[in-house]
Amino acid sequence: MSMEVFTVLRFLESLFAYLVITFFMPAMLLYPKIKKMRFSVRFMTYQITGNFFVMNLVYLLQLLRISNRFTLTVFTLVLFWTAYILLGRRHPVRAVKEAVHTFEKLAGGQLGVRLFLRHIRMTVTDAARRFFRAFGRRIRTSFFDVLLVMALTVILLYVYGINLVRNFGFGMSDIPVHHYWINYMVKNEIFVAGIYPMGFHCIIYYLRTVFGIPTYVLLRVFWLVQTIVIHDILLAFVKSCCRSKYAGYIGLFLYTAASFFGVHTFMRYYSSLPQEFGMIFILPSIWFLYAFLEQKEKKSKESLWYLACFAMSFAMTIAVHFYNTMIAGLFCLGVAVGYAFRLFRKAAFGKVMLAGIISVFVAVLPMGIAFAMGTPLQGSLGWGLNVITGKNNRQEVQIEKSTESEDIQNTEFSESSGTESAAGIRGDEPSGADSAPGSGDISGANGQRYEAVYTPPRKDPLPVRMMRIVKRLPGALWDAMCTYLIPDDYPLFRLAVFAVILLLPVLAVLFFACRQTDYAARLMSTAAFLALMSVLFCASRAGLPSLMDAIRACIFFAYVIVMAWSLCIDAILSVFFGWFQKKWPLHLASLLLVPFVCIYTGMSGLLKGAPDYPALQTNAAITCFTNILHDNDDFAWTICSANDELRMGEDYGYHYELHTFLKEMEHSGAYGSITIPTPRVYFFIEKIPIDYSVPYENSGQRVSKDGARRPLPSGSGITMYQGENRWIEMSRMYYWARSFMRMYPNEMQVYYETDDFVCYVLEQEMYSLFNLAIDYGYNLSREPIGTDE
Amino acid sequence: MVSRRNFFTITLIMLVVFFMFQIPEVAKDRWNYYDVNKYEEQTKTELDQRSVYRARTVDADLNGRYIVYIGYRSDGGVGNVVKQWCLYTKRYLEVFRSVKFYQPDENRLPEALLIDSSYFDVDTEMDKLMEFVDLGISLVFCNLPAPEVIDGNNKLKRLLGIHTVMSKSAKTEGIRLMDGFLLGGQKEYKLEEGVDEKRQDFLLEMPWYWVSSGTRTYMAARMEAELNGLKNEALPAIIWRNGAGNAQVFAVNGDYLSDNTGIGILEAMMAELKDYDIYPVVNAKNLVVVNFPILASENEAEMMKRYSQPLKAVCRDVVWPGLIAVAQKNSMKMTCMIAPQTNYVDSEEPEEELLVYYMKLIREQSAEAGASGSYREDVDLRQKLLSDTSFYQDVIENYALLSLYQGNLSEGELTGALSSDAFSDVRAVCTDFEEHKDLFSYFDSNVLMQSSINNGFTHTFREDFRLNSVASALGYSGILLDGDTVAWPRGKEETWEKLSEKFASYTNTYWNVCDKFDGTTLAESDARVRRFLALNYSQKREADNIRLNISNFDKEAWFILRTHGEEITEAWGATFEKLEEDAYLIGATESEVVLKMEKTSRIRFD
Repeated sequence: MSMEVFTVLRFLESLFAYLVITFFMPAMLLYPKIKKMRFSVRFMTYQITGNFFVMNLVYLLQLLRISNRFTLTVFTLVLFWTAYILLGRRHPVRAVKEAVHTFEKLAGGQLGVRLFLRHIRMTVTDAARRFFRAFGRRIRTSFFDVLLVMALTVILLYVYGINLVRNFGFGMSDIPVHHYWINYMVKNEIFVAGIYPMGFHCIIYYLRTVFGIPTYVLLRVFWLVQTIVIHDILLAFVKSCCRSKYAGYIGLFLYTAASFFGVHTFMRYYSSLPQEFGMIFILPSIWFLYAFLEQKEKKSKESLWYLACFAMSFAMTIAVHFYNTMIAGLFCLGVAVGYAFRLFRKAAFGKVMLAGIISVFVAVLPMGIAFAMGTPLQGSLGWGLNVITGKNNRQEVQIEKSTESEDIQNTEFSESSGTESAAGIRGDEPSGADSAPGSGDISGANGQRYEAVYTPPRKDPLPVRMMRIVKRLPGALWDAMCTYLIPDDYPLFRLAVFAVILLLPVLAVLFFACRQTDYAARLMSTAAFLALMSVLFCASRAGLPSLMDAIRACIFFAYVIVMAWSLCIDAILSVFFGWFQKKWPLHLASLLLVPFVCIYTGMSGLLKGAPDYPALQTNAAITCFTNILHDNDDFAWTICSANDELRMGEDYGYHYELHTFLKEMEHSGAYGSITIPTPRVYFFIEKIPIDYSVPYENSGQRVSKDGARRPLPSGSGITMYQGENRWIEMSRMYYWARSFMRMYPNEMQVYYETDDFVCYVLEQEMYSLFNLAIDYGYNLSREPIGTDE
Repeated sequence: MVSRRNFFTITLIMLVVFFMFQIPEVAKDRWNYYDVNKYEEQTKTELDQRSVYRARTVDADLNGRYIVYIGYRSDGGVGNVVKQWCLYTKRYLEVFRSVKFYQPDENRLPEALLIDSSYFDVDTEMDKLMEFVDLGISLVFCNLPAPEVIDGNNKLKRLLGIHTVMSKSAKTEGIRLMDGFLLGGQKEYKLEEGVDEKRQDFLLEMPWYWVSSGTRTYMAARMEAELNGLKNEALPAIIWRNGAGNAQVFAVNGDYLSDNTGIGILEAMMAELKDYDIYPVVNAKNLVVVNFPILASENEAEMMKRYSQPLKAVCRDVVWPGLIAVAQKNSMKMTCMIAPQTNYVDSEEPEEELLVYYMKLIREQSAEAGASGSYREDVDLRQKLLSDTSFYQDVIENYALLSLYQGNLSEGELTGALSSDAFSDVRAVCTDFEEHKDLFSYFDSNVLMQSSINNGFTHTFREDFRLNSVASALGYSGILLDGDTVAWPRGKEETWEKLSEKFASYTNTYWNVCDKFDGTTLAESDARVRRFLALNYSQKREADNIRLNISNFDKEAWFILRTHGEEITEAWGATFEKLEEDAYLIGATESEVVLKMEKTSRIRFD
């Protein structure tokens, strides 16, 4: 079977597993209760309840240290059936009695097994028939919706899915860290590296444990699942907010298929990362808040249900990634502006605040319990708290960065610490605010060094500073937008960003004036949120404290701007067609706009295509790893490679760090001793070493004797495998393998080879292990490496 | 009252049942041609001593099967083993008394240069060996120089891959044979609790060499040091290989190559040198029961004392069923070397009816009857031969006795015996195992001698090692069980009760290495050995196919193929059977064979 087919099958498996817990099961429970709601709202509800249930179940069992396949499955089924009975139409006690009575009859022989099975079969058949009938009805009544959703899915699969089968490896260097944390959840050691929002990890762990999909496979393919869901949630939210049926698709289509958005706005979608997963919960939390505030009777069951959903969504933004909480929080502030006339009433304010507090409490509780039990905060969480508490002075950020980089597995290149530190340090230098770490005068040094040279600037009075910031804001926003959001020359779309920020409040006022209060409040909320979001986006450039670096903020900004565009278009259409008693002119207008926008985008050459986003592992390495997993018994093999396979194979076999391997035979040659006690040892060697996040002058060159002759890189951490160091390590490893193969031609063989990668396998007798330390011609230099400098 | 009708029906049914059971027995008895040796025709072959193929220089040029031996060809030790091995594997052998006499021809380098260390001068010839290694000639040190010599010569230590000479003589507790070297897999030759101490017959005191990186150990000693935290890799190595220069250097720490056990070790080493190794084998598994059955009631008093019945009853009712059970369980065919009597001076004469009875049983079991050449010292050989001849001619005149057990007959006596009328058809002579004697050799132009491998009543560690070694090299094994031990027990330990327990347990347990080989009678095995000695072969690899051409092909030929991570997926002109991981038994049915090979570890996802 080809790896492409295998990957697609694994993706389908992951998608199905995820939908079971976040769509089918919640739908079975909740449908009877919320069937009057629109499908888009029901979809958001299912997502929220399913994810919330799984996250908290995993948290609970992990903290009790009893989490495994059996307990997770049993708890899921028991709680599901309990909820099913409680939420069902029948009286719960009577339902249990009926079930007991049925089994009594079955055991007593009064009810035959065949008859019993027939009843079950008929029940299932009826349910399936009803489901398909409803499904058919749905297709008939929402034909264009189904058609457009299918088209959108196809576009998504084309734009993102092709990369799934084109590059098998992890897209980001911090995925091994998340992998590591999930691996330890298997051992019931949640928060192994300190307290961190583990919501995303809980979901992956649940899918891995209950459905048996290996973690490394999930992290390889789950990004496409979450990307599809993120887009679906965006669509659901827009559709729920809009008055026309199809205006939402315009924004979605532009977001998915158009190429004017910068690469940073969607690049991270190609990786299974918590921040992106957490985006699923931002918009539902806002919609449920809207829904609550729009309810006249605040004490009704429906109101409370909306409030509960808001609390669950908001809690999950905290439980998954704090950046999502920031965005959700800003949007809530926007809602406070838009719905001020309702929110600050006695009946609503207290409830909303209580829901917010409960949601924070629920999300923080597992972390609080762990903290109380003595688990320290994880590094990036510490940084986040410092930002919130205002302790994020420049020195501390810098120290944090250097501390993290010391740990090979805990380095997160694209996570919070790296770029924020640079931005924070050079807050007064807008031109280079978000450049890569290490490019400034003082970057790359440790915290102490920076402390010695830093002189705080003299502060002006507050009003003066405020005025200066306000003046800077439009320019800073334009600059940030040109850098990240719409980097190329697309003036129309750049103006559209500004236009929507300005137009939405005007439209909101118009609708307020027309007494379309709810709709107007939504527009106003969105407008206020966009204004806040703009400030966040360009904060560092405007001289404000940078809560989120622009390179991250642009992801959220692009996400919400398309939502705003859709709303704006919907509002404009409503101005023209919304006054008719019948809604079909409005829907028709919005429907006609969809092909118009599509054709315009296509004819303007703005289609995105399927970007080739390279992975940090070769396809051959993943192929090889997959084969090794299937060929061997667990823990009967060791992989000697650079870094990533350590976490990928942690549940199934052993890993030997390539650098350690080479280092141990440096200067000792055949007099050293390296033994690896497994029957098979695999050596992963990149013949053309990849650029692991850090390119260098001769990137893409093959391993060579010249590379092997260079001193083995000194230092520690992931830097061993970056830039030129990776080339040196791989060159040396290659010539070691060649020498060893000459000594053991029958025992050491090529397992898998492509143009840019080779995997050797060594088979050995467990009672007489090979000493892998040999003189391979490059490890016996006289001068200790590094001292001649 | 039973009605007539019912009575008639019952009688009819009883008659049907009666005939149903009787007819097969009558048929078996009626059509049992016990007085004809069915193997006479089946195993008929024209191959004789002149057919034996001896490799020549042309073979060395064509097939590369060429060995240089530094030592003495007829020393009765290593030289004899090397000579035999080269004969069996069709390798051209050149022998030199000293390394300095051998000048390698770069156009015709040997597969390996075998060195008997007693013919190797470390001080003067070391550099020459280094040159050979650089040329790509692999070396086999059939035994090693004294440890102090090795310790004092760093070049030799490097060549052998010795890290440190830990001790000149270390006491070890056992030996471990690693998986993949000989057939039979990993073996632990260490006395565990409850194991008969007599089974440990390896020399456990040996020089302790700690081998360095670049080596692979195939056999190592076991010792208490394992418990003291010393790694397995540092334990005294016995057989190992070192990658040196462009070649491989094998070393044997001990005298394991000085007897026939060495044949398998040498072949295993050659298999390690190549991507794959294909070599001819016999494919025969014999169970020869000599001096059984004894047809006269001898040693009456002892028999009555131990078994409460006479010898003929013991043979028929006690020994025979036990033998059959073991033979059937292990898919062996018996060859019974009948002893009409062992005592020719007493009044007890062999019973003709008993011979007929046994001949019928032998025929039923597809076994073969042969003659026993052993006799008690107080008997005149001529009298024995006359007596046996007359007896056989009276009872089984037409039965061709093809096999004979040499027993204690000297060469002259054997010549005399073979010229007697009764043994004129004999062409296979079975002998006891002797360490330094050829396993297969022609006694005269037409009579082939086959050595047994083991005595069924003992199975020491060294015997087990030999069994695995010979099975690996020749696909051959032979148990020789002496019925005389039962008839003339020398103590309690030699009662059949004890002997059968050992025989059954040893055979059922340790002979499983030969499970896949064909069970043969001596006559069948004789024909296979003749073909084995007569054939020559050449082979070449063409991509995934191994093409094998057999010359002097006669009906069938057998080979063993040893690979490294490859398996046969298809064969043309041959059948094949997997013996174990990376080892296949190939039965050629045509003179041209093609084997299609495929990697064992295939990539499932690509």
